[in-house]
Amino acid sequence: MTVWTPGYNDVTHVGIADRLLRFFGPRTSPFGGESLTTDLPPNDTRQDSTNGERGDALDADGTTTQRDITALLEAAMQAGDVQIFIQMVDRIDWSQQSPADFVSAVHLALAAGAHLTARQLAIQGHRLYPEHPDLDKMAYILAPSQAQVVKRPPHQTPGTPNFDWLREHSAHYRGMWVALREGQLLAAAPTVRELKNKLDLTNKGIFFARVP
Amino acid sequence: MLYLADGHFFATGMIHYLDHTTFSPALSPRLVVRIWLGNHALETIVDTGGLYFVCHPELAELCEPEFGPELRVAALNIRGHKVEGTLRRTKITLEAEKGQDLAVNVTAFIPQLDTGIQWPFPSFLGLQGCLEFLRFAVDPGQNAFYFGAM
Repeated sequence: MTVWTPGYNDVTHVGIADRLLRFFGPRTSPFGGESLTTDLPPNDTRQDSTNGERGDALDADGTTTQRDITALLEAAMQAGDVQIFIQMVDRIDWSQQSPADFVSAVHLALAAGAHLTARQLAIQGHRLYPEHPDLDKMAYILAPSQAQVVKRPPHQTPGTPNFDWLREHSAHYRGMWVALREGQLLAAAPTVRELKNKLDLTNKGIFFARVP
Repeated sequence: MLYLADGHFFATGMIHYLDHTTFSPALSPRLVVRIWLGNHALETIVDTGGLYFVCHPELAELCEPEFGPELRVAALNIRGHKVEGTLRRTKITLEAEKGQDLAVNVTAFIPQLDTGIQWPFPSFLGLQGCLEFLRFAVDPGQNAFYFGAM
């Protein structure tokens, strides 16, 4: 899966600057200008928020469209300020958004470095649309960690002999991957692939390390 | 093990940690704990300022069957380096030298490197998606890392 980055034709450019300026005001805008559509010349009619079918459509019922949401978050992400991105997310009424909005927003949040926001969006989207496969996967992968005690009889841990072996023999295996068990070298190889070929990976208790 | 004031368990397991990775004694002190990923033991650094279980990409390749479906993420900042990779769900186990093991379902970040580039870092246990809902405590006098479920 790849991160979906909207191209010019994928987003609604008309009204983005207006909306950002409405949120943050002209002096606090992180973009340093009145328009985000700096890839177009100033006289391009597509930038004119007062003269365009899409601009009118955005304001007709006061709601935001998927393209609108995505464009807003895309712009915030490209500003490189994760706090701005989070503020944008917080100001959107997510209860009214589509599954595609959530999917795009999660990708953008991850790309922006807003990882907790990405989780919150994934979980909220999954609650609203539990049958949506992408949201189901996102909520699963980004879910909070869950710990569970594993009951088993006490045993002698094999870790320490392996660490001891590494301390004593590392000088001879620099740059190599080594596989150990209970302080005994099983195999060594310059790459993981070669190491795998030398081992029976169904065996339990193999300790792996790369000797720098 | 360790108990809360009301008598309930705080930590149910303990493992001794190393102060540094096996091969880097000159670096500043770390909390290096051994974890299990499937049948394989790995050396990891506790990094409460980090995110996810950052798994060394070659170890991830070795333990591929242990990982669930992936979610591509643009980048994660690791030690000042912006690294591209994938997010996947997996289960790690903290093996107790005293007490009971703890299995943890975590989010793993697996760096994706260009051909010929080697991952310069070890594996990390970050906070979000990994250690966040564990109870843990450190006894520097005994080099003991205590852990328990919430």
